[in-house]
Amino acid sequence: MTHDEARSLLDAYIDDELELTTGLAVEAHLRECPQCTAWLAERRSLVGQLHAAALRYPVPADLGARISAQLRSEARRLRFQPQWFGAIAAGLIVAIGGFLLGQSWPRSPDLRSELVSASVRAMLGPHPIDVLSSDHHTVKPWLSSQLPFSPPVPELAQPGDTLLGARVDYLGSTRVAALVYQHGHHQINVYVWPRDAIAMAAPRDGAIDGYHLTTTQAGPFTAVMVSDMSVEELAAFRDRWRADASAAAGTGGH
Amino acid sequence: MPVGDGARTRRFEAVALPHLPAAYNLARWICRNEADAADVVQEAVMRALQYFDSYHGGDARAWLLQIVRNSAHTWIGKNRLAGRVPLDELESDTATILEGRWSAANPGPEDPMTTVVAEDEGARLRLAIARLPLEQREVLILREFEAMSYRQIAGITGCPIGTVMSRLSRARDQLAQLVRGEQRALP
Repeated sequence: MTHDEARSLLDAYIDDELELTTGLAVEAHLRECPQCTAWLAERRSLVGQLHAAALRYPVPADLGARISAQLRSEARRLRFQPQWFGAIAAGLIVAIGGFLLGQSWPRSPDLRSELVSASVRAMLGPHPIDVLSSDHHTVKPWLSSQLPFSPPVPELAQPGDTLLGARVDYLGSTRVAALVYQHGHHQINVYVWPRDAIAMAAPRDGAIDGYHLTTTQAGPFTAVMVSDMSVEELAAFRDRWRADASAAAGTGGH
Repeated sequence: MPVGDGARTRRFEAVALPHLPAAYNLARWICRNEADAADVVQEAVMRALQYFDSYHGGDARAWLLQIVRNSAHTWIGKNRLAGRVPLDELESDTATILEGRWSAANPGPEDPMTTVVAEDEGARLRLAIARLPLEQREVLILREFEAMSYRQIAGITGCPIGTVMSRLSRARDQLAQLVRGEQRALP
């Protein structure tokens, strides 16, 4: 390991974030490099100072109470709603129900937040990607073995788009494929399922909690892309994805 | 539903509220202002309640902190749109003035902030952290004060782990530079 390599890893070394072999290589370098050893000592003392200086801000005295009160009133509102507004609500449901049912409108927002939550949860969890590979010859068979369908897995040959891998996710009780791509600093989760597998309309494009969603169709499949990239970037990504997915289908590629 | 909602709220409280200190600390460091941080946290907690049905266990602190982080960023975006002075610029102007006074080593009595800063090592570090660019600051806070792993930080901030690593290194570089500079400036 060169001096520069070791030096660039010292922060991660302090934080115990290096894999065993890398950590050992850094330690070997430290034994023969007084410069890095001195730098490490100084850095440790800085980090120690940060931890010792009690720089966390304590929760303001009234905030906990404010939040609890709002949670309680929220729970009360939900609990009493049927009693207070039961008759009105029932009337509204009858009046608007038929119209909404036709559009699947009431369910779409649920599916959208479910998709965003699923991708947030996955990225936070210990295994955001079950099969780590940029090769669709690896990813697609793996997905087919886990799911009752075989989703398109375009590799997106354009520079800037990288297939990171895939996992299997749940939407409600339906298992769907989740392909994970990287573009610049952003990750994109692409959820794919056979159009008939989920008995609700594909979600409309939109934004939830800083994430954008966009939907497309590829052959018999619905694909929904979720990412924190901008609407325009995500739309461009969607178009590249759809083009590659249909190109693969057209040539009989798997 | 009527019966379930009280229980659901209680379950939510048990999962989310233990992490209120971490949530507030993060919001406070992102917003750099107590009243706004409190509003951001309150809004984020209500938003978390909305999404609670899709939380299926796991790292509750990281889950909540991500919602808080997004709410805080939305808050920053709104302030910019509303034409308020961008905080980063405001902060760095203030910091430049303060820095000039530190090195002058002769804080005027008319500036209580400078006096406090000169007296208190902690306050100096605090101001130095507040001056970091937002993207470095939030990574530093999550690492140093919440002891989160690079992977957790990557999940919360929506960046690749490599970006987390380099932002953290740059944040520490800047703080180290500042601490060294002050040691030289002290009599």
